[in-house]
Amino acid sequence: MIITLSLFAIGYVLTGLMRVRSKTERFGLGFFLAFGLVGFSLFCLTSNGVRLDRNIAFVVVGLACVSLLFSIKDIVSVRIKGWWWLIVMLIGLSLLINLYWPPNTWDALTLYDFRAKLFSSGFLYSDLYQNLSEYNANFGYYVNGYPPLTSLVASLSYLLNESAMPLFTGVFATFVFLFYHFMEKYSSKKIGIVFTLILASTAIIFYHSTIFYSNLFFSASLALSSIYLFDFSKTKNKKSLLFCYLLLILSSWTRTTEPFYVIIFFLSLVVTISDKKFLNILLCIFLIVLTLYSRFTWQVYINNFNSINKLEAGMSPSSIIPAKEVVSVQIGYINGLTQIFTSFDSTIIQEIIVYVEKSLDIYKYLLFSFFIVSLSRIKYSFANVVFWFVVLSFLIMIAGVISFSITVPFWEELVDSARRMMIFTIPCMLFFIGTAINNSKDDNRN
Amino acid sequence: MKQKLIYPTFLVYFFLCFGLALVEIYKYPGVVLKFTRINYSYFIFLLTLLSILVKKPEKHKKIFKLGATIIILFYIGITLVETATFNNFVFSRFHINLGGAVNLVLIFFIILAPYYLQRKKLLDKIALIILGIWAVSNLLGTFSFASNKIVFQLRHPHASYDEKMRKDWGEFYDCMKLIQSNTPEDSSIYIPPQADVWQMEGNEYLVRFFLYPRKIIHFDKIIESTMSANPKFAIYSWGYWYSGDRKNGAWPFEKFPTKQAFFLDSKNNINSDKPIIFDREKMVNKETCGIINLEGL
Repeated sequence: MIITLSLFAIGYVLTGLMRVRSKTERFGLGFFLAFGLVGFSLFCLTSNGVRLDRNIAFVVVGLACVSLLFSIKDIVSVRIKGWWWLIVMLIGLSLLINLYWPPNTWDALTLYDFRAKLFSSGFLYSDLYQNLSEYNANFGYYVNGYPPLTSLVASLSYLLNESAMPLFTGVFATFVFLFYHFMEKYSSKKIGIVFTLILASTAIIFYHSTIFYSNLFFSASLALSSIYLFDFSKTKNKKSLLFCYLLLILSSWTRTTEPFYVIIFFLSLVVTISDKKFLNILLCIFLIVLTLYSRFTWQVYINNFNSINKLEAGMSPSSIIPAKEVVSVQIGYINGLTQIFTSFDSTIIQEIIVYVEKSLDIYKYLLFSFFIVSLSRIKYSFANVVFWFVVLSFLIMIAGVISFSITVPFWEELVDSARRMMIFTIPCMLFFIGTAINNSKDDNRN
Repeated sequence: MKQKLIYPTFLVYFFLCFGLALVEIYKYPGVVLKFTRINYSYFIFLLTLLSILVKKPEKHKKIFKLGATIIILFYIGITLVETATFNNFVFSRFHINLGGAVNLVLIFFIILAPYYLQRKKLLDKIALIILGIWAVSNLLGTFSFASNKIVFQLRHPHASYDEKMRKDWGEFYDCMKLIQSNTPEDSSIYIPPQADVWQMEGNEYLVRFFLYPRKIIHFDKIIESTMSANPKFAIYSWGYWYSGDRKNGAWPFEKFPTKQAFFLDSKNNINSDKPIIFDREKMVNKETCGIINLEGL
């Protein structure tokens, strides 16, 4: 709880320094940025031989106390009115659940929470690999299979002998605040509060606010990234583009296998090029390069790390993956797709349709609503960045399923993974529907 | 004349949907599909369209609101009763299927929503009501999930870590605790392949969480060079996964004598600490989980 509140305080001041005006936006965005800043700092420490201990946690708390001095006035002036009470109740329920239950879901025990506990007991990455790989080389490889952002920040909670679970209530709450900020900005207060309540009460999102998985943070960062891009497309405010990419980098440092970041690259280039403002185009290219650098930093680091440690563990050189093949991980997706045209078996079309149906069963009514709204406003939809983000995301998902059906033998068992992977489309579709219904004047036909 | 028949016809259809929802509640979700060959959700979809197209009298709004309130309170009540007792209690006692009860709430939402969307265009009305159906289902799902957790918390405010983990992991957690208590931290433990009914005890990453820093090794992946002087053990398990092939009985499938073994019987009691010769044939169907000392083999 202390670490969660610390991130709020630090983030609030951070966004103040970045001249973000709205209080709701500062509470929301600040938490995400503080989460990322603290997580990345801990990564730098643990990968350079500095073991985490309580002093580091105290530094974070100390920073938070200093931040509070600058933000206490704003915090105490917050008033909860009307329907906001329902949303605060939902956040309160999530917190109540998280204060009681320990991490106890499958992936939390096998990876995220296990890693956080090891970091908090002084493990470095090299220790993780060596200690776990002595009898099974897969252990070290598995534990580094996902970027460490959520585990590192959670380890601070363990250093203070408290539960790491309230962090996820923090992610949930700030996600909701930031979503409301943009709903109110682009529709109305009434629609904003209704759609925010819908988002906060969405079963899969509420559930993920009570478990130690990386999906909620990833989905929130990615969805908000697309909404900031929408904000940039409307206001041309460079800060919005910057925040879009900062959130995209955070999503990449939470989960790295999902390729949806390329849609943000593509859409931001389209927006900036169509603006014809050279500085914005340059800024966009710079941010793309920065995002790619941050993604590859992690992948190159971990592949080099795995390579070195496999050599030290006495494994044969043929089993080592050279660092230069990191790029092929990304190209692998393209290879998988081109295989479709050379080896695609039409008999699996039905299996793919069944798989996609099962994966998207919890989304179908929302998707239906999304398409009705978009088809009734063709011009508005085609000019809307969030619309294209959703459509291209589902197309990539289907392309990924087709690719997996060729390359992964047990692909049909991964329905739940696909379902969780697409959580980020929920706030995007809600945002689009809420703003389209309130705003569009063109193509509003029966 | 035609105009006068439209609303009554709609009401008849509304009561039909309500009746079918009651059938699904009493029997099971999917019974309508079985007997009519039409999925119940198509009835709901048609009701949605009709509710938007048919003009309903303003004076009936209060009646529908009263109905909605009663149904919502009913749903909250049965959900709380279910969470306060056990899964399927409401069905076993009152023959009310909780999953089917959601449809009752949705029906009233579909009836009431058009009253509040009168200024919207037709396609927007359809989109918003479908969105509303999705949102209401989610809200009820969230309520059900949260109440399940909170009721347990209220009934067990001082539950220990073990009790909380046992709630979600059941007997598998007891199995891991047994192994943890009866093996030294520097030991190596063989686990079954992750297949059939051994999806949990055969998952090396899952087992590692409970037994770390013990070394976890798949029995079919023994590397001679890693066999050290450390004590070696093997999990004995009947298999905790809910589905899969159990034709070979408990794992390990081999029969061999050992110095010492500890087991959980079918009532989750630990047997005595007397040394036991591991005789697989005598143990099938009696013990669910155990730890076998392989030292000296």
